[in-house]
Amino acid sequence: MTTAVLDSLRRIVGPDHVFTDATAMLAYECDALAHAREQPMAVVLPGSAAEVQAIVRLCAESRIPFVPRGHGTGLSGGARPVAGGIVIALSRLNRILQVDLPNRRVVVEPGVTNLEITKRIAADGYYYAPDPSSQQVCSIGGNVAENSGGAHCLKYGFTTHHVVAVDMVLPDGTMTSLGDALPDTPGPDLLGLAIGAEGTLGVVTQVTVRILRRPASVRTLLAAFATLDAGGATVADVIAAGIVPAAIEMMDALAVRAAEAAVHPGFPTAEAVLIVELDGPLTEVDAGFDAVVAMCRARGATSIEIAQNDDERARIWRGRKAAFAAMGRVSPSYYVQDGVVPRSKLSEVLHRIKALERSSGLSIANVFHAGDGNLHPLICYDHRVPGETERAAAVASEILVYCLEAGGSLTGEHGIGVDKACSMPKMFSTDDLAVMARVRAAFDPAAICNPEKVFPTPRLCGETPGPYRPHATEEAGLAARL
Amino acid sequence: MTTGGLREQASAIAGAGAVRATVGAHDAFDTVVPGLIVAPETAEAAAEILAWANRERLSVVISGGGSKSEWGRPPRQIDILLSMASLSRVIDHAHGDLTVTVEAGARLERVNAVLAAQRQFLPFDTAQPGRATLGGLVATNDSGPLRHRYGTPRDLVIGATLATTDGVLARSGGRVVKNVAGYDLARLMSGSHGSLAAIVSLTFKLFPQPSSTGTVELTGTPEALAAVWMGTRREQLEPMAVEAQAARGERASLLVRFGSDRATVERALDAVARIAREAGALCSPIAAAEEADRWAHHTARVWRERHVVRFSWAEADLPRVFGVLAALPHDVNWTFAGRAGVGSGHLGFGAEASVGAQIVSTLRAARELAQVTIVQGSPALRRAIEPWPASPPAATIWPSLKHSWDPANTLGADRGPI
Repeated sequence: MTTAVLDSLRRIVGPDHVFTDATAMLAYECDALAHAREQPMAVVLPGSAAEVQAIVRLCAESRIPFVPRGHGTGLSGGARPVAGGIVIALSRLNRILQVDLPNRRVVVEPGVTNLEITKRIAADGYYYAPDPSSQQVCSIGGNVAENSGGAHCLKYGFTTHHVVAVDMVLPDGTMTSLGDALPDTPGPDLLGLAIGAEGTLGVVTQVTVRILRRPASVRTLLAAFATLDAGGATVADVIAAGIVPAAIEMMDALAVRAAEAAVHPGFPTAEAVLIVELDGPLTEVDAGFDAVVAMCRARGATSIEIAQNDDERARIWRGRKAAFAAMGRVSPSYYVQDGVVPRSKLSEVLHRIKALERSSGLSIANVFHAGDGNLHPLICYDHRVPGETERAAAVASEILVYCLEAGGSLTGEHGIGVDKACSMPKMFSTDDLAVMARVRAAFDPAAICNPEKVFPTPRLCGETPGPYRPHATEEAGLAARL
Repeated sequence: MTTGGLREQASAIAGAGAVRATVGAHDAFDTVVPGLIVAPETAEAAAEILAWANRERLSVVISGGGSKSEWGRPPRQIDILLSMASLSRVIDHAHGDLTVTVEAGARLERVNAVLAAQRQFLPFDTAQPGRATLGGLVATNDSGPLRHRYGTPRDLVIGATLATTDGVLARSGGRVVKNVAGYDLARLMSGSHGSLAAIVSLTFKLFPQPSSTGTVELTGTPEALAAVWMGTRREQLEPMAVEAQAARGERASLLVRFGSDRATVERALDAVARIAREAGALCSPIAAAEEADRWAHHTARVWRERHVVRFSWAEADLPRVFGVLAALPHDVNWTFAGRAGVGSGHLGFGAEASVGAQIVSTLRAARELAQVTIVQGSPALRRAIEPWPASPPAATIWPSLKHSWDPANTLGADRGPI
């Protein structure tokens, strides 16, 4: 990167907001997928949308790849820098710009945290619904990139259901907006495409979200079961009864033990615990809740705790939300996996994971969004033991195969990033990926906007293993393999 | 190439039974009689037909039930009407997963009849559920009163298979309700009106049918009705639908519908009645036996007018929207049905084209309204004024998107929006 470019960057954002020193850039070398690291040429922290646009224009003119970054909480390496490129960190764009309660809209900069939005409007009885477990620290811009969900998405949907507009700088430096505060903008839903596109189509500089009135009533229970199957059957019963819980989560014995050790939520010792939360009008919640309690009993729940107040409810959720971090109490290292299976296939896939636990010799804790089949197996390993890190990665990979074989997905909420780009051909055909790649090229023909994410590349993934398969260009006589 | 030649080639690809020459005005699609109607019986055949049409530089319009043929500019020539009528199966109703996978030509009413066996449904409102196909619902993102609680087709689609103009079948999403792998091509298709690719199958997230419903009708000043809606928000009632209604010569009214267990519905209806009294609005419950008809009438009133426009507004501006409508020319009959909690609604009216064009212009000039779109209109009206609203800022990307999906402009016959 030339001195001229660095000087231009310093002129755009001010010299204090450009880092080129290796130590200063250390924190930006990765997101929460710590092993996927790369040192960028520079980290730039713009203070306004105009500065973001100027930076992207400069990158477009100089063909410099860039990686947008929120608060670095991502679990798939989506914010991993590109060698020879820059990181555009949006953390200084952290203002709530407008709160419009009558129209239920809040306009924010992308560096505002998810929970901050809710905190701002809580006193008025409103909230922002998508609630990823990292909501205290994750950025709304990052939520847009990943189409973040959270425990309440079975009932309330994802980021794509709660964002109505974004301002975005396109990879060529054009500033545009997708969607609008008022619904039904004409044309293809480019906002719906951009949400979940993992920062590959442009850099978001402003987000307009819709906010909801708090439900009148919330009730939460924690039920323990002697087997995961019994818990799973209860979930099936709830769905079959036409009840849509606000949240329905399961944790297995190892996850419960870890959570207890970390935050002492007072969970019972059990093979499986089920957390069910219903919200809505009081009589609706009471009727549904009674039915769910009866279903838990009918499936042999060994204990049922009903939260009597906000503190008890918060305690139950603390136990669930601490589950990942809590694994550090029971294992030197752990690998968080994210996969989805159709809810009806949960039991089958959990049995396969149990068998894998036995055959691999590595403990696997299971925490999952039981209502939508989104699994988070937590693979325990000791990084100090030679080969164990690789074994954990292989187990994580194997679990994804089970998910796909059950008709599921590679990722429910953490995204593809770099972590699963090489697995995309296991879920999508060459044609599927080629069509998606064409969409990406329509936005970013120069391939400078968060390149090497989401889609497999030879550089990232190496040669395709297996028997020799001619590339389309070879078949077309346009290229020859030497 | 002659129609006979086209027919021969199309038959070789899709099978003779899938290809039909047109027989004059009876087969018109909007203002144009297509050269040929091709109804492929497999997704692969649909893709091959598209690739062939693209190579031969033919003009193709994709059609489901044809119920929205007047939503767009009058087409230029249509060589091939690509009908989804033979791709109409319910492929899989995974009721335990709350999902359904259907071929794009499956009709909403038929699909909901299948889903009803498990007391589930696709909560989509459209003027003609017996004709409207799920592919068309997604491509147009059509919606109605149930949008209030459930959103639009775009919100519930979780997977799609598309047939592209280069003959490829491309999948996105999947069959699971939670999935962020890859690009959301189904949402990209939403609002594209068949101008980028053909949707051949879709997977949707489903909802359970409410066990019980109840509706009240409120009449009063626009301010009183807006206050009732704000009151339901304040008191955390959760209606299924909140419909503002108005018509030339009638008082404004609000239809509020709840769906839940019986006790909850009754309590909510009582609460609305109290809120109405406090706001100075009159409240009449709709008898259970009449509820379905009342809702059918609410929609039918708008759509039986010759022209229908759709527009958006900021929720809090509802009283002013009533004001804009009241100021329309007195000799024009109009009916309005709008989602008070969303800020989107439909206005049906009868008028000859130049008067109609004036009305559309007036609506577009109104500060409170946005995205004024002719969703049904006589060809004369749609020639007198552009049916689509002004292109949004994002239209800067449209040319490169269109070029990457359909470089030869095979699809859409320039009906728009892209």
